Amino acid sequence: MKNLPLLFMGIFFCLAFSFSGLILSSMIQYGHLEPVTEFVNHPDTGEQIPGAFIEIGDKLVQGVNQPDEQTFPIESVGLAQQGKQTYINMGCLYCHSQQVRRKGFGADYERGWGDRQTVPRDYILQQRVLLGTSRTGPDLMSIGMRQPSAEWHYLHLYNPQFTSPGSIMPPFRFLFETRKIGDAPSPDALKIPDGFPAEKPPAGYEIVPTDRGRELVAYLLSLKLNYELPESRFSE
Amino acid sequence: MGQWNGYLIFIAALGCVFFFSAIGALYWAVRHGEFKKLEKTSRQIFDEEEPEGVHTDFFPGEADKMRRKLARSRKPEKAGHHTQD
Amino acid sequence: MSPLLSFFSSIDPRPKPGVPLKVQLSQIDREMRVPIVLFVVSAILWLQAGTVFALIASIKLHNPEFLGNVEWLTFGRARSAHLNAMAFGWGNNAIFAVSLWIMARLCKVSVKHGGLLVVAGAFWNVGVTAGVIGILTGGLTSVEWLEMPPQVAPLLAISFILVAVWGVIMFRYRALGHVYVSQWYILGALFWFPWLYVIAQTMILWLPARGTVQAITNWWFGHNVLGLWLTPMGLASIYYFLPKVLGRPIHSYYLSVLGFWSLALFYNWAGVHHLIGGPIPVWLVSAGIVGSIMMVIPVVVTAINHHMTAAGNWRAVWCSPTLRFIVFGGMSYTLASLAGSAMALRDINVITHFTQFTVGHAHHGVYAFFTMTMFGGIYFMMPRILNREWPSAALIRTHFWCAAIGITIMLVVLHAGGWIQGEMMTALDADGKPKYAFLEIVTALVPWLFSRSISGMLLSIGHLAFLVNFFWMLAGRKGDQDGPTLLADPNEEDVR
Ligand code: HEC
Ligand code: HEM
Repeated sequence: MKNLPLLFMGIFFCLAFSFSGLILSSMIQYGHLEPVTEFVNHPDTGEQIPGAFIEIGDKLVQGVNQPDEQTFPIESVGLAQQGKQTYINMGCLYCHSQQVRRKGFGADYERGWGDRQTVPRDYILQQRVLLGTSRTGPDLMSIGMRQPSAEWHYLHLYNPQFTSPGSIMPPFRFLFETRKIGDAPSPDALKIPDGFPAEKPPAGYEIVPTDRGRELVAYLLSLKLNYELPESRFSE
Repeated sequence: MGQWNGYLIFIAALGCVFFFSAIGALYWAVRHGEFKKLEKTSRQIFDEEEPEGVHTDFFPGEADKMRRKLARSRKPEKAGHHTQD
Repeated sequence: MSPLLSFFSSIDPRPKPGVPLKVQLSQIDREMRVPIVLFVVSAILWLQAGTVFALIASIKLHNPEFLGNVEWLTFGRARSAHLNAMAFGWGNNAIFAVSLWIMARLCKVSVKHGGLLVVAGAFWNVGVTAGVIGILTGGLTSVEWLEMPPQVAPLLAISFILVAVWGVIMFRYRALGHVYVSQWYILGALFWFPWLYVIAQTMILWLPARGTVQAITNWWFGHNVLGLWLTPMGLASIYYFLPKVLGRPIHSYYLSVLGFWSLALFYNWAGVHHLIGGPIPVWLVSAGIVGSIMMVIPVVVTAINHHMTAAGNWRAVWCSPTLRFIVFGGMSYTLASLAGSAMALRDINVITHFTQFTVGHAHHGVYAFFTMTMFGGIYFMMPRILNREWPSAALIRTHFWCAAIGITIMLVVLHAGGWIQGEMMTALDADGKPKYAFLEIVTALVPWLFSRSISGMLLSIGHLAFLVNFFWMLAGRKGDQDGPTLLADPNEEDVR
């Protein structure tokens, strides 16, 4: 083939084809998804029914909600939002995914990583979507429910061996500082387990999380999959 | 189901556009002789400096030795087999 | 003439009519010398940097306390620095050098204003350096394949386009005749990459798309960096060097055309297979799987074509440093791609997804195929550019054996370890409970990760041998021949 414009057109169209087929069309299909409430009130009876839509006869009717009702998914704000920044720039994503596959496809459900499959709507309020492609560590989509103790997270981040002997998760000691105990010990000072004498702070000192550490744990605790969506209900 | 139709039509239309423009381009190319003498193009990479039939890369300092080895190992009836044009 | 017009006529790289071919070629090589040497030097230095980050990341995976308190080298960052140094530092610089040189050779034209190319190349390297430092110091974006802080993207995009423009200019002024398949691949890739890069940057980092559309864009981009950038450039090199060194045209030109268009059509769609089971519409995943399976066509077509070209010439392949690497790369392309198509099947993917198997597959493509091919290309190109021979055959052999054995070990351990990891992860006992606790899986994986570090050390030795040989050559005296094609024997009759 010697014709440059023709060759170029072919090259152009091949990529344009997949771009429109994969990206534009998925934007058209679900770019408009909105948060929904967990329950709708039946327009006639006022009865609460799970899901954004209800079937009346053979029609799908959007339920009527009170304006102050909580909608899902919830946007992460404040501390958690800042903690996500630390999660991002430490590269936790390279070992941890945030997605749950449907029951029967893999063992995500059985491992307790989530009671239902995650769907596009779960992610619509996230500035940066962190699905991840590696599970060197467990999935974290619902870590805030599975491990609700901030104390556990602090210990684990400081040195994963404290809580999970044999773990290959790196220690994140730089999210903590060792400082002189003030008038009274801080409430969130780490209680280093006795098996690790070398890790204990010198007498009169305590190890406390820095702001980044606190934010990161707030973010982890905010990761919950405790609501249902019309297109994804809890599995039995 | 309403929101599904819109994008299905979009995809189908898009697919058709791509499909028919591909067919069109192919037809055009064949008509204009773009595929004529296709096989000859494979000789484009040779020139008088590094002509067909000549090996052009050896380990440094071992070229002569390897050339001789290659010449010996080559079966006589195969020699020059690929160089006629 | 207006200054603009005179600039445009001054970029016309065609040689003056009537100049003998030998002189033309040596002129091309001379004009390309400075930019190409710059690219190869940067590529090799990035290769070393990437290797250091690779070893750090690899050791950290089985020994988390190793450099454990250094924040900027925490695993996520060291690993991302590794990927970016390798893909955008080593990979792109090597591609710039090899593909522009092939383009010049095939078009029988050279670059005018090579200085601009040097400036563009310099800015590319400044951009990648800034990006890697950004990753290490807290700018990591955690978007796979787009880890660098978004601020460096405009710099990278502009310098890339500047480099690519020279490729297009050469093509525009090429000597008449049909276009060889390597030129198609190079032209296509030079155009595809900036498009992919700009769209992905925009839709993920600058103006984030809603929800998981980001993830789809991410893998459309990420997989196409492999499929529409590294792969075409690797294939362009194989299509050029394999027949060239053997002195024997490619088996079937028709098959190479078919291979090109089927790759261009199907590879695009394959990226979504990184999201199988994920929170995106099922039909998209299916499209991705279909695209991945259809990739069997270009791969098999290309494999047949390469195999038939080399068949019966194995001794000649063995005698040529270039072809040892290139043929290793070509075979790996076939294997890696077929494995990739298989991994896109839902039944296999459910095991291999999220495990080290994927990492093994990534190195199969990007090291055993792409990197080996680039090594081969550089071994062929540099003596012609510099007019001198590689100083040491022993170092080339060291490089080859370390690379070949090292990557083979790495692939075996990552695929085996990854498969075991995946099986343990999904195994259920009779009550429907997970059979293995998570920490048991971690413990089972560690020996495999350890072996990967060993294989990485072997690869590092190979990379060092390459570095030493190259700088030795660069520092060495000028060879005594003047011709551009140093290695062609003047009396080739005795070869027949
Ligand atoms: C080298 C890979 C790696 C990196 C990087 C990593 N982790 Fe982990 N993570 C693991 C492994 C392996 C486990 C399982 C063993 C354990 O509990 O330590 C784990 C477990 C966890 C758990 C407990 C999960 C559960 O189900 O009990 C949390 C929470 C966690 N990691 C958070 C993080 C955060 C936050 C980061 C980033 C700051 C991070 N991890 C970075 C490998 C990693
Ligand atoms: C010195 C030899 C090498 C070693 C020891 C090595 C090691 C590693 C390690 C430890 C990772 C991280 C895996 C993880 O996230 O779990 C990785 C990822 C990666 N490396 Fe390398 N690497 C080497 C050479 C290369 C080269 C030469 C290239 C490319 C030109 C490359 C490209 C990549 C890519 C693309 C990834 C991302 C894989 C993925 O996320 O699936 N590597 N490597």
